[in-house]
Formats: sequence, structure tokens, C-alpha cells
Amino acid sequence: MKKIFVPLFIITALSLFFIGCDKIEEPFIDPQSPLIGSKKVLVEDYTGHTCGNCPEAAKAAEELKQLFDTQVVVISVHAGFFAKPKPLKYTTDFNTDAGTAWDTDFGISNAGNPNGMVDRIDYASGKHIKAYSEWRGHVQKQIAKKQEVSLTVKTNYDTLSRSLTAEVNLMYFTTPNAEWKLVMCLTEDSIVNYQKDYSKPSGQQDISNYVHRHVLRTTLNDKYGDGLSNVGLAAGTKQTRKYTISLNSEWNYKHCAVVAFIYNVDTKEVIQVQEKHISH
Amino acid sequence: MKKHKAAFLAFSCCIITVTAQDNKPDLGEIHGNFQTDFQVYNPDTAIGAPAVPEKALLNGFANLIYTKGKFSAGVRYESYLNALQGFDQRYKGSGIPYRYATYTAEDLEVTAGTYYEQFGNGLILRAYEERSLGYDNAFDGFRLKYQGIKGTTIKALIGKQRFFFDQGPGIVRGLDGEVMLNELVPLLDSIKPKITLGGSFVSKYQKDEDPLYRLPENVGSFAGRAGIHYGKFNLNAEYAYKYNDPSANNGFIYKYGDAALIQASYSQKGLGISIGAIRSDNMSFRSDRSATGNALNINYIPALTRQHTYNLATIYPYATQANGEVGLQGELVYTLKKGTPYGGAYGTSIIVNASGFNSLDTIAKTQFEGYAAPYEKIGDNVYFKDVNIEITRKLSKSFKLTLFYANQVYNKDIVQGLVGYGTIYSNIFVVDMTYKFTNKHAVRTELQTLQTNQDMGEWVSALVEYTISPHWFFSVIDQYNYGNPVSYKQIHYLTGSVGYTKNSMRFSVGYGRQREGIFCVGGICRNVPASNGLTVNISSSF
Repeated sequence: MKKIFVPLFIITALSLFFIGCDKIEEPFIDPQSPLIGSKKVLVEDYTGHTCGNCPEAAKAAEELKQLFDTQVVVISVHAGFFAKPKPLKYTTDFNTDAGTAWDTDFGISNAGNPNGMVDRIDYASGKHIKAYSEWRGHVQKQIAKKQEVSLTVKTNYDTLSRSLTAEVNLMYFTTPNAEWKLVMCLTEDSIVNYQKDYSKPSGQQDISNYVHRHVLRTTLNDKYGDGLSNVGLAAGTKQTRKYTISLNSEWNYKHCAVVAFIYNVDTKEVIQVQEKHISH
Repeated sequence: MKKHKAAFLAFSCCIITVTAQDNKPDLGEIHGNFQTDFQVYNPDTAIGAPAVPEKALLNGFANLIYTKGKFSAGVRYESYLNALQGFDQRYKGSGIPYRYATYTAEDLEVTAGTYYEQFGNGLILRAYEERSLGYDNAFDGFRLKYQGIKGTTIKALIGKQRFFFDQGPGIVRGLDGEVMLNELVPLLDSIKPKITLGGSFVSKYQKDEDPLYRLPENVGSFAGRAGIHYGKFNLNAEYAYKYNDPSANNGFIYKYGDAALIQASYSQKGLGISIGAIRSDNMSFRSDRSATGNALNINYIPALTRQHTYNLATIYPYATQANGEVGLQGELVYTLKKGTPYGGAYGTSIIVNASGFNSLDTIAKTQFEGYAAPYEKIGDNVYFKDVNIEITRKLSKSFKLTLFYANQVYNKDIVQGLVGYGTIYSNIFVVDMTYKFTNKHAVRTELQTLQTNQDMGEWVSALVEYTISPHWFFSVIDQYNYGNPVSYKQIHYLTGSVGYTKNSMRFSVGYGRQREGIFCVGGICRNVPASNGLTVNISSSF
């Protein structure tokens, strides 16, 4: 009896040691997980109210929204010569510190309006300025990429104090090897105001009730963003950031949205973007 | 459930048949016991006792065990109709959660069905039942125990754990070996120190169904232990290690867990000294990584605190913090001889006990690594401290006096997992007197007070218990929270009870108010909600 049982127990013991333990190393998340969907794409439309060709670009941006729904986030950046306020009709100033700085950095209004960027790609090669006719193709390419980080934005708006708090939650799906920054923007949609439109007959080109979409109003943090200290973080790591600002009394909070985007500091490419309307 | 009931009925019929023929000795023996706890609930807004829709609730069980030679089989029928307040409400209905058969062939014992087991001190495996807590993490599967080599015991098991009337999702595999060196090694059989060595390995399997995270499906753990018994001196130590086990308990970190326990004791007539120390870090080990409460624990971290019996000393009991704690306990039991100036005519016994628990000293790491906890440091956060002394002296043939004092520090937020209660510093004084009128009639009184400036404030408690041996007892207890900072909560909790015992049958009826609190046995706790009403407890065995 003994002769049988002793080796039997030894075999059982050894087998337990072999089967008994899975040691998980990085990545702690499954790269094949269906939860890791495709990334969202940021389209920046650099425009101005006296730029008569710009409504065509705005239309192109709207078509992208219709085609790709929430996978595409649009920001209209009023900056440069055509964005300057002018007496009588074009008195509203849509310029922002952030928009002007970006416009200068990327040299967009210098190259002429309308123009834009799709996820700020191709900066290194100097081909980052994209005409609106090119946007769709680039969006399609970008949208096919898997997201490297997820962004969720929660907002809380107090109508009395006009205080807006935005909480951003990030989750990394890959281990980043470059420095990333998070930029938090506030946009206002459906602002009715003047816009020059050359597609209209001469004499009717000053549209008084033009609907300006996704207008950049300000940023909740520095225009170049906050560093995420993300280099080398394990896939699966979560981060949270919180920002609070007061809304200008002229902005209709019901039309306002927070747009959060993360970009690669070296390549300027936008890694991920998210949009959250504050009233719903 | 129906199937279980049918099995129970069938089994009952067998018993009747067997007992009817019990003049034949070779049919084996049947033993059993049964207990029901029944409570009628009255809503009582003053103490926060809610209205119970059923108005009355019952917990009950019956064990039946059949033995014949090397064979034994048993079942336990349990009923929760519905579970008493304060017990996990996932206990619902009736059924047979426990049934087993065991036989021993040669040196091999085989158990099929439900079983309890413990490896060493339980640091990586302990399945047991504690009815007063509603705690039962029994295994269902197979267990082998082999004692074919002199001085050694080898156990191997596989099973799933009880989860109320169901089973948990994980499969637990375990192996344990223990050697009594003096018996195994011929050269050592004559030396005086008796040395025991043991080792165990436990692994649980649970499928990774998380859509995103890569979770270890097989979580392994091992432990090694040694014990020396030398005359009046005992020493035992155990170390356990658990591989990465992300779970709801540890916030899904992939850190390893470990625990070290050392206990030493010395005892001779009239003197007992024991000291123990424990350090556990991330050692919640369950067969379901999402389990909470007291469900599906594979292991057990021993509690190194005194289990108090005086009711005011149990208001702030310590619950083991498996996620991390460092604790130390020392106890001295000393009897002053009778007939000496210190001991008095009938002798005096003194118990001095002190224990303390602190947090681990942790350094935060990444989300997945969680933290590091260096061994050489102890955290600053005090979880619990208890220094108590109990002196019992028989002053005359008929009069016995016990004086008890405890000083406790209780971090309510940590121990009960709450926020905003902070730490409670309390002093507890008890005078316990027993007077025997005759051999059969005795009266016992307890006067207690708990003094604190925190939480619910001060309490006094008085108990009078009259016993007529061997059958009857009558008792009345009033606990009065006179120092509660909220004036309408300065409430009397008055309870009266009567009990009758005959042979193994015990019957007791009580009526009154039960204060809200937590109840712990061995560092495992459950919440006790406030209640008001009638309780009936019946138990018997055969």
C-alpha cells in the first residue's frame, strides 16, 4: 500500500506546483479586449467670421460629424486676419488666447483660411495643415487606429455660480513611451452671428443669422496642456484630473461642451479626444 | 432544493429503520443534534429597530451522523425562514448544504462530499463553521488523508466552497504535509524537544471573465511551519505567501500577499504565559475574486485578541484586517495559591492580557503593484489596543468576586470599514459577584460601566442571574447608554430571559431590546442590528 501511495502523493504535489500558479506580468490588460475600441479623431477648423470661403469648411466638418457621429470631434478655432473684429457687422471677437497661439504655432492662417488639422498629424514633415477637402480621408485613417488611451469626461455645472467642474478619467491601453499632455477646451455651439459667405450672391454675403458651430471659447487649463507623467505607465493604469472654471455670462451653457484631448509632446499628434456637453 | 428535501426525508426514514432495529449492534450508530433560534420582531424607533415584514424569523439546523467502524456519513439540514436579522440575507430557505461519507482503508482516509479542513494555523487554508456568525466556508469535493508513514500526515483535497445554498465559482486544490520529526527519525525519538514541521500548498482556479484585465486564473499560495514542544514550553511559527491575486478585496492589485505568525507559550500549574505576533499583508484569499462579506474565504488570519465575555467589553471588538495589519498579544494567567496571604482562603486567579494592532507601513506604488510594505517598519495608524486585567477571588465558600478592567483603543473607521467615526478610547470596569445560597441555588450579578467621550458615550449595565441547578436559570440585564451625546438615544436596553436545561436539551426564552453593534468570533465579525422582541432558542443532541 505504502509503495503505491507515497509516489502518488509526490506526483500530486508536483503537479499542483506546476498547475497551481499563474504569475501575471505586464501588460495587465488584454490587448485583444473588445473593450479597446477605435480612437476618436479631432478635427480643428481654423476659421474667421470675415473669411468668405470658410462656411464651406464648416459644412465639410458637419458632414464628418454626420458620417462618423461621435467618433469625430470638431473645434472651430477663430484666429488670424479673418477673425479680427470689424466695425458695424463683425464686432464680435471670437478670438481666444489658445486659438491664436495654436494658429501661430502651426502657421495655419498664414497659409490661408479655411484650413485645418486632423489630429495634428504630419507635423514633423510640415504637412500638418490640411485643406477641408482632405479631412475625410485622414479621419478615416485615424479612426481605424486602436485607442491607446480612453478618455471619459464628467461635468458638473452650477447654473447660479456658473461654475463648471470637469472630471477627466484616463485609462491607458498601451504603455506610452513618449510624453503626453492633456488639453481641456470649452466650446460653444450654435452661436448665431454674422459670417461672410462667398457662396451667396454678391450683396447678400454678410449673413446675419449664420450658425457658428463648435466655437472654441477658452481652455480649462494651460493651452499647451498638463503633463501626464505617463512615460512607462503600465497598460491598464487609470488617472483622474479635475478642472474648474467660471463660465462667461455671454456664453449659453446649454450649448457648451468640454473637449478634452491628449497629444504627443514630440510629434504633436492627438492621441485621443473626447467631447462632453455640459447640459446633458 | 426539492431534491435536497427528498434526500433528507429518505435519510430520515433510514434512521427510523436503523433505530427501530438498534438491538443489533453491527448496524452502527446514529448521532445528531439540532438547534432552532426563533425571534419575533417589534419595530422600535427609539433604538432604530426596523419593522420586519415577516414579523418573526428563524434559523435552524439539524445534524445527523452515522458511524459504523471505519465508515461514517452525515448530513445537515438547515433552514432560514427567513434568516434572522444580522445574518447574511443570502441564507434563504431550507436545504442540505452539508452531506458527506468518509471511510478509512489501510492508512488512507477518503472523504467524499462536504468537509472542513485546516492546514497549519489556517493562513492559507481553513474551512470551518461558526453558526453564531453565519460563517460556513466548507469544501465540497474530495479529500484524502494518508498516515502510512510513521509520524507523518499528508492531506490532499479538491473542492468548491459553500456559498449559502450554492457553491462559489472557484475550485480549490490543496496539499498539506506534516511531520513529527521525533517519530519519523529514529535518532530523534529519545530527545526531549518534540519538533513538528509542516508545509502546504493551495491553489484556486477561477476563470478570467474580465473583458479587459488579464487576471491570474490559478492563484497559488504556500506556507511552511515549525513547532517545538519542550516540556512546559511551546513555540510555533508559520509563514505564508500568496502569489498575485487581484480581487475586490485588495482593489484588484497584482501584489503578492504574505503573512507571518509566531506564538510562544509556557505553562505550569498556576502559571500560564503566552505571547503571539502576527503580520499579514494582502492575505484576503477567496475562491471568488469578487466575493465580499464573510463569503468564500479560503484562508483564515488568526485573531490575537482576547475574546471578551462581559457585554460592555464587546461593544468595540476587533475584526482581523486581512489586507494588512501588524499585531502583538501577550497574556499572563496566574493563580495565587489558596491559604497564602495573597491568595486568600480559597485562592485567587489573575489574568492580564494586552494586545495591539497597527497598520502596515506602506509606500504607494503603481495602480497594479498597489504598494510596498517593508517588514522592518510598522505603520502609524493604530487599529486596536486592549489592555485588560481580571481578578477572580473566592471570598468564602459561597461568595465569589471577579473584578475586571479594560482599556481599549478602537479605530472604528478601519475596523468597521466606516468613515467619520474616528478612534474611540474607552475604559471598562466590571464587578461580577456570585453568591451560592445552597448547592443548587445561586445568584450572580454583574455591574459594568464603559467610559468614553467618543461615539455613543458612556454605558452602564447591570445583570442579575438566578440559577437553580441543574435545570433552570432566570436573568435580567439592563444596558443603559446614559452618556449618549444625542439625548434621545440615552436608552435602556432591558432584556429578561428564562432557560431550562435537561440532559442535552436546552430551551430558553428571552424578551427585550438588543443594541446595535458588531459581534465577532476569532476576529471574524457580523453586524447585529438593533432589535426588540421575543427570542426562543431550543437545542438538543443525541
